[in-house]
Amino acid sequence: MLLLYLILIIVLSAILTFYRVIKGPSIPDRIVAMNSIGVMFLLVLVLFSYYFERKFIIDVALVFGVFIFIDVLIMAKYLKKSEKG
Amino acid sequence: MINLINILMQIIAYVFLITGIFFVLSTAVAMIRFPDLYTRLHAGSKCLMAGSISVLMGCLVLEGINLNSLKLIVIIIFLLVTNSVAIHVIASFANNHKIKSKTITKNDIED
Repeated sequence: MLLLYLILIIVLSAILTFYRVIKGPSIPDRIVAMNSIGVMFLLVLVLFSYYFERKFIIDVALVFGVFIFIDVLIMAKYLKKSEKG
Repeated sequence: MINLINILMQIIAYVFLITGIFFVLSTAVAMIRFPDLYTRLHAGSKCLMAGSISVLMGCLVLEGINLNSLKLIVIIIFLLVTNSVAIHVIASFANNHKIKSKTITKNDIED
């Protein structure tokens, strides 16, 4: 039962971080905030696998961690190229 | 005796989880209240990693030793390597876009 409250607090902090995605003055602000939301959602997935006692969700979290990294790299590289040309 | 060890492991795990969630919540407060991009990068790299590693360590203590705990260790090492790289890429991207710090007194980059 305590685990459910911990998940709710992480979801609340992800919603608070989403404020920065909406009102970020520049593009890197939004990228950093989305990166933080992604890591928070990874933690929610790992805690879900203990709350529902379905252990395969850890595999989903492992692949999701790879996607966050590739996401940030592709966004940074693409925006850097579009600035030059 | 085994029951006592079980209860002790549960207490250690929940201490790890609550510490990590405090760090995650303070990351959210930092994202709202910090004035500047570079301070937000600081919060998004160090504070978030402290929180997430602490939460995953709590899950590791809850799990015991088997294949799932190996996956959790892989997630911890992967986050330690990749999140710092991602934040460094964003910082260099912001430096290319000439985003200045708000509370700077002397700009070392342009001088």
